[in-house]
Amino acid sequence: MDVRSLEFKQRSVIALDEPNLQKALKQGKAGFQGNRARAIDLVPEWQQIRSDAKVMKDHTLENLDYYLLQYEAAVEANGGKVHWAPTAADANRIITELVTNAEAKLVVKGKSMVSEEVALNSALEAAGVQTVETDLGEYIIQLAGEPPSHIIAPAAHKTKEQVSDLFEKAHGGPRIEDRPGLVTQARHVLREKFMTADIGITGANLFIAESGQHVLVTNEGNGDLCSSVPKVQIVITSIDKIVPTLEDAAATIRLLARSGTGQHISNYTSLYGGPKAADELDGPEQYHVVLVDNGRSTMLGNAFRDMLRCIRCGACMNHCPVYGNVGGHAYGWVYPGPMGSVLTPNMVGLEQTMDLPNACTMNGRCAEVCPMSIPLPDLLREHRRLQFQRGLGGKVARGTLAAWAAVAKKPSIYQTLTRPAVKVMSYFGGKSGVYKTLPGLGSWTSQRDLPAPQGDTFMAQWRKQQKSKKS
Amino acid sequence: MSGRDQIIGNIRRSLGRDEPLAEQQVAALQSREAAHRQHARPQVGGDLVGQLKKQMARVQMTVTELGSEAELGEAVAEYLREHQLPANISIAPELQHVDWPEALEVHAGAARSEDLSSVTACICAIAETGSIMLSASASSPATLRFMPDNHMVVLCRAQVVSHLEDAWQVMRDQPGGISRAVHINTGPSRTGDVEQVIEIGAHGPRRMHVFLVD
Repeated sequence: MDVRSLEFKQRSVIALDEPNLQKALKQGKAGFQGNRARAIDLVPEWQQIRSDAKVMKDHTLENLDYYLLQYEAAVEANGGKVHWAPTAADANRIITELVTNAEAKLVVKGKSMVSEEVALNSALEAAGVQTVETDLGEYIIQLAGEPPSHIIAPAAHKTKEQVSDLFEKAHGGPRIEDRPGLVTQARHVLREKFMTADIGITGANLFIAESGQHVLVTNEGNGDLCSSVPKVQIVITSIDKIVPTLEDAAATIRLLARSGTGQHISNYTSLYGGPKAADELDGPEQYHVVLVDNGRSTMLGNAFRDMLRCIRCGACMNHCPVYGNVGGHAYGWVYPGPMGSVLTPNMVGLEQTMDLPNACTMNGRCAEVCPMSIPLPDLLREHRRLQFQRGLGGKVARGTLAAWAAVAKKPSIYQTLTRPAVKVMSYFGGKSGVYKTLPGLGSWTSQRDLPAPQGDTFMAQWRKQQKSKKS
Repeated sequence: MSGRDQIIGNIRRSLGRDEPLAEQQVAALQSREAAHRQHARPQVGGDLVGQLKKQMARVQMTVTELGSEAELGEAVAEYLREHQLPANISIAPELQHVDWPEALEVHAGAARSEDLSSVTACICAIAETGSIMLSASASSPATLRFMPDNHMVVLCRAQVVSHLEDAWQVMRDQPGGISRAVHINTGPSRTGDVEQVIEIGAHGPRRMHVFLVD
């Protein structure tokens, strides 16, 4: 899909004025935050589980080549096949080949963010294959022709009425207004697709080197129907999702559902590792796993390695004030929120994503709730540093920053300039003690007031205090 | 260069070594694996069955306790009557030995699209999360767990384990090794995709019922 992250500001302004979106965002935020907090309250061991998982994942990344090759050997021993895709284009080429070799007409898909990242659906469409998303949220946005707005709740931005409209248009009348009715209708329409599909494609939440299994987590059971009914099973996932052992998988599973939806475990946590045995009555005859790199092996060697611990739970965006106000589409690509603002510049280039690292208040909530202890604000700051270092960004911003830096690094000049400025601003701040407008800063003060300085600068007060102590 | 060589090569460069791990390092990783190195986990109270039932109730799973497997046939018939379901079931072939009541129409095999109710066994239940673990095989087709509206599971008290890690051990110890598909199912299928409100019965079973046998 096209990268529209450069339009972040324009899209945010539109999002802030969209009443349906604002209603949906408010509902989603309250639910996600409350459910997560309640689930974690029940686990006094949470911080220990969290730090063990971080150690485990760092160990995995440090030995990533070993574990990936061990995984491949295990899958082959199970009768499956691993395909390696260095780029998004490679992933699409490999899967399109698998699909056309099987002479498939219909593909059913489970939710997969990696497939969104590589734009798999449009590649399959171009090859003339009908691809139906089966996760209810993904199905809704596929009907709407939109990208997901949240990594675990892709249709979080849609209201019930909008879903009714989409279903009426796609399925024909009569129009269904109630939620259970909408869910039931989707169940019937999609059940028919499961029964007739030639291939099932899903993502994987993690995969295990020791056993050659992948773990698929859903609440609807759609991923399991994709993995059990069609004759060919294809899994698309990325190289960072590997863990060495089943015990390591358990550590991740414990963090995932609690951090995302606040469940103790998702309804369906399934482990798959190969084609059906000869005497089995159902299950796929072929099992393929496509491992996508798409920039991750490079991140392993730069300042963004910590991001490869991400388990895609969505907690960071659920607790982000920026995401909570503008929603996922404003970010302009596949991954929104704090994790997206770290990941997207690594995948599509910093030039394409100028605003993303700056769309952050540095309040640190995302890092606090991240189950894998990813220092998201630090990584966003690193992107800002790289932007400055590479000379990206507007001349005014760069000039202002350079001037500020020049002054701030020399205490004598800084103090000489700030003391009179503080006095003047304090004097003109008047009784209200705030500035409602400031020349040249109209867009900043249109949303907030600047508090007027009170009294003197810190350094001046400090010197005064020291002096009075001595005397 | 193959995709695999490209990715592995790039990974090694990023890790600052162009070679595979040295023998000694590989040995360390192998011993980590062999030791099944454990991580921190939530505590589970002493009464495993009690904890299991509590967790199952949280996720809308229902439980009937039976004195012995001899009561199973009649209990299934009763469950169907109670929920006004037709008197036919698809069962996992592993349950063919059960003495099913004459009045029940029983089909043993994979699920068919018209099936409303299924009965299967399981390999264990996990008290930590209130989950049932099922392993796919010729005698336990995977589709029975996902296609019918009502999934009934037979569980023996002795099969209840404490944590996920204990369930892994049960999975590893299956005759024939780990199955191609192992499912940890925790309650009926649900979705929160329309306005974040939970609806039961998205794609999988609308009801999940456990017969807990002594």
